[in-house]
Order: sequence, then C-alpha cells, then structure tokens
Amino acid sequence: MTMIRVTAYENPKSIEEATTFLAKDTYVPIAGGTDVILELRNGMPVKLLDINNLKLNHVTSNKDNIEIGAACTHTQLASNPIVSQFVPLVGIAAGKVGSKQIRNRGTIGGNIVNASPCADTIPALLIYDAELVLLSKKGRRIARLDEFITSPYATIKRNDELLHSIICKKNNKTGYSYLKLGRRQAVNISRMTISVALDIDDDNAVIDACISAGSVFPVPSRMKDLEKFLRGEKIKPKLFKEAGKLAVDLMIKHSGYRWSTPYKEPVLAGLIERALMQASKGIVQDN
Amino acid sequence: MSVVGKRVQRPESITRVKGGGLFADDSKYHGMLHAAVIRSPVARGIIQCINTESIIKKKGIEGVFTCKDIPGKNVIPVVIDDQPLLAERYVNYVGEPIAVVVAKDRETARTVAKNAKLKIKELPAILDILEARNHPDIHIFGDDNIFKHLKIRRGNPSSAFKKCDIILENIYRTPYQEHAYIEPHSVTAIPYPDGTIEVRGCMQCPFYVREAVTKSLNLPESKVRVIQSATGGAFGGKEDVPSLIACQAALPAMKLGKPVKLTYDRTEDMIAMSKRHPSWTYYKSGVTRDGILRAVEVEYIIDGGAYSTLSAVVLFRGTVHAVGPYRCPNVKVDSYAVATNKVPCGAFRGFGSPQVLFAAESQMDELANRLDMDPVEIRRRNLLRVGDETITGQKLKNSVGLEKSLDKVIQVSGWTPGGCKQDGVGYGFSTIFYGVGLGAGGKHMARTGARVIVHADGSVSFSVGTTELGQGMITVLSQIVADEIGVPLECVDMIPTDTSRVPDSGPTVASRATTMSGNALKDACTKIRNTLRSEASEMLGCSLDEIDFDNGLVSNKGDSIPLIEVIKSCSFKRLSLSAEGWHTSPPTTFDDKTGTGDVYVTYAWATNLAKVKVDRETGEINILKIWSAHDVGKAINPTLAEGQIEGGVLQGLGYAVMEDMKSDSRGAIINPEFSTYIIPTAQDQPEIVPLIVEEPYPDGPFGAKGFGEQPLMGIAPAVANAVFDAVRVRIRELPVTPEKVWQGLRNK
Repeated sequence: MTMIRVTAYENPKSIEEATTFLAKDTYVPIAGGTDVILELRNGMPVKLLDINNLKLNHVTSNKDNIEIGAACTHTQLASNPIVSQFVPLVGIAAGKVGSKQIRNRGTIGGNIVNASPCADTIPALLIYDAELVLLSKKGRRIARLDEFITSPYATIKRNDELLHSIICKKNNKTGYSYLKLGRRQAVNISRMTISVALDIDDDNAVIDACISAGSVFPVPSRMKDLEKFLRGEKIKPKLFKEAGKLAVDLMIKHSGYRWSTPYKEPVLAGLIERALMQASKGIVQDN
Repeated sequence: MSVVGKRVQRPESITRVKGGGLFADDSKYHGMLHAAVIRSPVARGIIQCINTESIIKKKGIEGVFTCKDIPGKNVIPVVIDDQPLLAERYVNYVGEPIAVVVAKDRETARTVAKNAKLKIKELPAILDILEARNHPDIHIFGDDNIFKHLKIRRGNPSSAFKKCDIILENIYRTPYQEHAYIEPHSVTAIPYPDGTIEVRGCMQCPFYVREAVTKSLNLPESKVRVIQSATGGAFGGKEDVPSLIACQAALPAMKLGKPVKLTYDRTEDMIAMSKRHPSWTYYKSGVTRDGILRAVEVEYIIDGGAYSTLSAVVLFRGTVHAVGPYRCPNVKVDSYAVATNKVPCGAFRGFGSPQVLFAAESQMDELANRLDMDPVEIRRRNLLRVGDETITGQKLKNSVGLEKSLDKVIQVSGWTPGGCKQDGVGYGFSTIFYGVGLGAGGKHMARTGARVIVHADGSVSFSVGTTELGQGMITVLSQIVADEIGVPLECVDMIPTDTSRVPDSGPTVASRATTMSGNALKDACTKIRNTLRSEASEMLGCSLDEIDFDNGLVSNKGDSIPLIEVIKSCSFKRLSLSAEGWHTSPPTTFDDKTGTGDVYVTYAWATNLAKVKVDRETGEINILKIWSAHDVGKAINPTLAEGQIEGGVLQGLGYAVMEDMKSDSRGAIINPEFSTYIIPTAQDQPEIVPLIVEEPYPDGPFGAKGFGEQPLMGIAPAVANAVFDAVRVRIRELPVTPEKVWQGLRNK
C-alpha cells in the first residue's frame, strides 16, 4: 500500500545552500521524482532536498566537451541541438525513456544516480566517455561514469555529494546506432539496449568502435574486448556476425548464466549485428 | 428528427477529458471515517487469533470489525453462498479479508491494517488446477474441489472421429488477465437516523450490492439504497466484487453510526480483486478432406481461485461457446471450474469464452493448414447460418451476420489467399460469436425496469437499473427515449442509477444494457405516448390513429401542433406523463444432462483479421493492423459501437501479446503494479479498422443486440494465427511473447 512519509523538505536556491544541507543530514535529492517517489512507497521516513532551483538544466559546449546539467529533463535533451550534433546517442536514448510524462519530469542526473541496470541513458553516455561532476562542502571531484556504478542501484556517490553535471567528450564518428528491445511502445522498461558508434575510413576499415549495452551486464558497460576486436578490421557481414557471438561470450562471462540467458543470448548477437550494420552505413537509428 | 443510428456525442465526454465527474472517492460526508482491510498473508490456514484489543487502542482508530460483528449472514451472495464477507476460521488465499479497521483518516487505517498482528496456522495449499481437481487430501470446496462441472453431448463423437481424415489434439493454456479499470474500487456507506443505509460507489450491479448489504446487515431491502457513482471502467471487475467492498464499508458505518469510506489502492486492488480465470484446455477436432468439421471433443478447466463467485456461470458461457461459431454434429464438452488457494476469479469481458475461443480458433487454423486449405475457406465451409443449429441444438432463426462480417473484412482489407507478403509478415483470422444477455445461465434475472417522466416544460428524465461504465449506455438510452417520445436529444437526461427508483433490474453484464433497458424504456415511452396521442387527437379534433409524431410536431394529415403544446396541455389538465416500463427476456433453456437448449435469446457475430510482423532475431511481434467486423443488429450510435471495437481490440491485444500476471509459490500475485504488469498504452495501438454489420434482431430495440464484450474475444487467436502465418511458429499458451516465438523459431 502507498504510504509516503516525508519528514523534511528543503528547497535550496543555491549550490552552497544545497551542499550545506547535505553535509548536515541525510537527504534524498529530488528533481523529477520519477524514481524517488516510487521508492518512497515502501514507507521509510525520508528527508527530501529539492534540486529544481539550482539552475542545473544547462547544456554547454566547448572545444572538446559537452556539459549537461544534472537536472536536464529527458524531453529537453531529446530536442537539444547541441546534444543532437555532438552526442546524438544521448539525445536518442533520452527520447526512449519511459513515456512522454516521465520524460517531461525525469532528469538525466536521476537516471544516472538511480543506477538501474536498465537505465536508458547510461549506455549512450558511456560511448562519450562521460565523467560526472560531484560537489560537496569538501569540494569538487570528478568520477568516471564507467567507475561510478558499483552494482545494480549502488554508486560511489557519498550522501553529502550532489551530482552537478555530466561531461561528455566529443567524438566525431562516421556512424551511430541505438537499439532498444522492450515489451511495448511506451512506459517501456528496457529489456536490452545497444549503443554503437563507429568510425570507418575510406577503405571501409574500422578505425574506432565504441559499443555499450544496457540490461545485459549487472551494470551498463562498454564492451571493450569487442571494440578491440573490431578495430582495424575490414567491414564485411561475417565480421558483424562474429562480433555478435563475441558479445554473447562477454555477457555470459560477466553476468553468468541466468533464466533469461537462453533468450537473450541469440537476441543480443542479433542486435549487435544489426546495430553495427546500421552504424556502418552512418545511420543514427531511432527504432 | 430521429437520433437513433446517428453519431451523437456522449454528453459526458468533454467533462471526462477535462478530469471532471464525481467519482466514488471524490465525495466527502460530514464526520466520515475511513476503512482499511486486514488481509491473509497465507494461502491456506487456520486463524488462531486476531488481537482486536491491541488494534483498537492505537491512536486514531475508531473500530475494528471481524466476522463476529456481522449481524446477518456472513456471506457474499453470488451463485453459491461459499464466500464469507470476513474470514471465520479458515483463510483460503493470500489477500483474503479477515477484519476491517476504521480510523479518522485513511493513512492511519491503512497503516494499522497493514501492520496488524495475526496468528494463523499455515496449512498446505494447492495452487494448480490439474492437481486441485479431485485432490485426495486438500479440500477447498466440497470433496473434489470442483465448483461446477458442465457437459454437452451431441451426436456420437467417438464414431465420428473414426471417419475423419485429419484429427488434431492439442493443449492450450491462458493466464490471468487484470481488468485494469482506470479507477480502483471505492465505496462509501452512509447511515441515516431512520436506520437506512445508503451505499454510493463505483459498480456494475447496484442490485447485487443491495442484496449483499441486506443479507449481511440483516436489513429489509427498503432500508438499503444503492446509488452508482460515476464509474471509471469495469469490464466485469465491478460485477460481483463491489458487493464485498460495500459490506466492508456498510458494517462499520452501521455499527458506528457514521459514514465510512473504503477505497482500495491499486496494488491492493490487483492482489485481492477478481481477474479473468486462467485456463487449461484439451482440444480434439476432426475434419474430413472436404474441410467439414465432423467432431469436436473438449475438456475445459478454469481456475476459480478460493471461492466460487461467478465461476459456475463463467464456465457456462465458455462451455456453450467451446466449438466456436460452427456447425458440428458430434460434440463432447466437459468443463470444470476448479477451486485453488488463490484469489477468486470472476467476470471479465467475454466471461469464460475468450479462453476457449483461443483454443477453438487456433485449432481451426491448424486444421486448415493440415488440409492445405486457406483459413477463410475452412471457416466458410463450417460457419453458422440462418436455419443451422448450434452445438446445444439451438436453431438460429434470424440475425446471423457471421458470413457478412467475414465478407466485410475480406472486402475492406483486400486479403487474398496466398497473397504475397514481406518476410516475417503474417495474417490471422478469427470468427467468433457471443450469446447476448444472461441466457439460461442467469435467466431468473433476465428482466429489467425503467421509469420515464416527461416534465411540463418538455424536458424528460429517465431512470434505469443498468449502469453507465464508460460504454456509453446513457447516450444510447437517451437516443432511444428521445426518439420514442419525439423530443430533441438535449431535452433528455438520465438520473444516476439508484435502486430506489426502479425495481430490481438485474446486473449490467453480458452486454445486456442496450437491449434490456432499451426495451423497458420503449415500454414506458409507449405508455406516455398513448396519453400524448389521446390529448393531441382532442386538440386536433381527429381520431387517434390519424396522429403522427415527427420532428417535434404532432400532426394529422393537414394540421400540426408542436409537441410541447400537447405536453403543456397534459400538464394543465393534470394528466400523468410518467410511466414505468418493464421488459423480460424471451425464454431460454439448458438441459444439464445433455447440454441442449435454446441457450441465449440471440447471438452477435464477428470476424477479426490481424496483420503482424515478427522479428526473426528477437521474436518481437509488431501488430501492424486489425480489421474487426461485428454484427450488432443495429448500431444505435455507430461512433460508440466503433469505440467499443477499438477499446476491445486493444484490451484483446494486451491479452494476446503482453499481459502476464504471475503468482508465486504461495499463490500471491507477484506483479500487482502497472510497472510490472504490462498492458498496452495508446502508443501500442495499431491501426484498427472497426466495421459494423447490421442483421436486425427482431426482439431488440430498433433491431439492436448487445456486443460490448465481443471485440476483445477473438483477438488473441487472430494474433496467434497471424504469427503462425508469418513465421510458422504455433503458440498455444498466452501471451504470445517474444521469448516463446523465438524459442519456437529455434526449435524448428
């Protein structure tokens, strides 16, 4: 039954004020609340820190990086021109989150700190070697996204820290693909997501490949062994088929053999193959 | 100007879109208290102690009530009186109500109910229907755990099978389906100083609620008044269940002398409320090489859960529909509703027929495939026409629009046998039927009342005993009244359904509201019109049979006067322009021993065609388009009829490919939330082509027959047949998930 017990609610107007609260007591930061409110239903008493007035909804670009404020909503990112120009997979992934209502409320920062194995935006961010800016009274620290999540729903963020922004490296590639497998068209919990960015030279050889997957490993991860396997190879259908098989080996190595494996095994292979094929043609796939 | 048959808008549409309407949980009463239910945490056990004294001491608690506090019978009357309002000695499923807690505010009531300490000695439970049937030791119901066994015996199947060229035997399974009405259950009971209890809430069947409250509180029917609030969807889920909830609120309201509201939250609603019966079906059918169905043998078992509720009648409808809409001279059906230690199942759009039709229609396709015959041809060779007999031996006299519905789908879709298509794309048909109204399974309730009052200013109020559930009944009945009296539609209003206004009119189920209340209203309107006619003949100075009513005017051949002048004249002369109407169904029969009889007054008919695309790598099923044609007799309002088709198709698609409610080793529902129990969203709606066929039913108002349930019923087999057509994988267990399709692709 639904019983939400909020024992305190603070609405700071500056980062300084927010980190002071976080230093004093255990608060749960809340922006859109699309994950937090659901967790509150277990009836545990909670103190909420509203971060909606900290002006964390910026998207800025410099020579090498894109900075995304933690409180940017998915809707905002899905239609942001800087995002679609420099980190297109992030925009596509944001546009695939839940439903329109959830995208209007939910934020990218929330998607990251909730650390669900099936978070839609994390695999896309991993393609751009994303780093997280964490602020506290003790100062500022930068954490790599691929080291931030330790296990499902657990991160290295301390209770006194606030996720301020996400920094993505610009990496111009020749093609991208994002595929999401789910049960229905909206409010869809991902059963598998694949993000691919490929850089291919004029001789049709792979210069660089970035591949990540959600709902495949305990935490969303890049498939570095697979990327290494592809680098320098000439593109041909057989190559992508082999890549699919290798992806399956990686899944079983890291996630073990689970009840869903018999289904996910060939499906993962098929999706990897399809995503690589699309990226090799330069398509930004919005399936 | 006639409005029957016109696409008039529902008067409440705009209000609903804006979030308006007074729903059950919206109303507040002075001094109102809130109730919550203490439920069983175990599937089967003996209650050793409920510590009510410690509960009553808690802050904010006004009372706690157990079965000992019930002044009347501790029973929810449905078909068999086996379900207690509050558990006595035994509990039989996780979520069974044990006690009601009442507090000043809802959160306190819910918290205390949730944390209540109970001493229950757990007993071994039985969850599987095949194990439960005739279980030697564990007896949930009777000594065999069988709520009901029904049979149909027609011809001689065993000798007929010997002459068949192709015989197929298969097992089919279907899971729970959750109604997912937009509004969870809510009821408020208000006690009055004269001892009357008023019950207001969302419900389909106010007269069921009245019976339950009078029995449990030991009150005369004149002291219980039940009023339906605006109801946010029902689909069968608010048929019998509101009786239970109303009693849980009325008991403390009477004891404490204060209004008591009881609203379930979504999770509680999904754990403890009724659902579509899961089923197991053995299906054997045989054809000769010419594609003629010669013999069918069916064993159909439905999982009733811990108490019988409506299972016996759900089974009845499933049994009668077991062969689908086909001629078959040799039939043996044995069907069972079985008790298990799980949540009691109940009514759900289709009422026991979608499960068995999934088997029947999948089987028909498999036979066609084995015969190398196209799926339309095999149906055409067997489908029922006027003059044919159903499997119960009922001769169809009229209103059989099945073949027309098939023709219409083929014509509009352009489908051709062996037509070329893309890889992974498939088409699947289903042809189905629906016995309209309660039929022989509930014939004692097959009557309904109505009251119509024409006011002096020409406005008209009417009351009926059936309910608006979102299906558009108010609009359709208002159209009938407007035409029968001869006033514009804007002048007609329905008074919210209230048991004190009309005699017991039975339930709003079985797609019966349009035909039953429509006919009762016509009866009342005819009486009023006779008064108007005689007054008009006096005013125009002509004989009664010269009078004609049209377009707001009353005329004889030459002269005319506005109808409003006749109404005013009646009012001036103090003539009554109020009347009660009554309608009883034509007789229906069913012989328990042979399964023969004229089971339903008439049947609605439908053809569905699904176009799907299957992803060979992931097994994902993309529903591309659905054509769905229904013979409704007469569409009083074509827009609303099409709306029923669209909604039913989408609900049927959920059943076909998504909805997968599971229970754990204790029989408890493990996905009682919309984040884990996946239903279609608006985004999942494929292009739906609703098609209407009108083969008039002579005993229906303007030829109409009910069909509200039918759009859901044939979607699952159409999709399963389309998946087979697409990738040659046959799924015999719903839902048709990507995993099952993928597994099927791999096993080939």
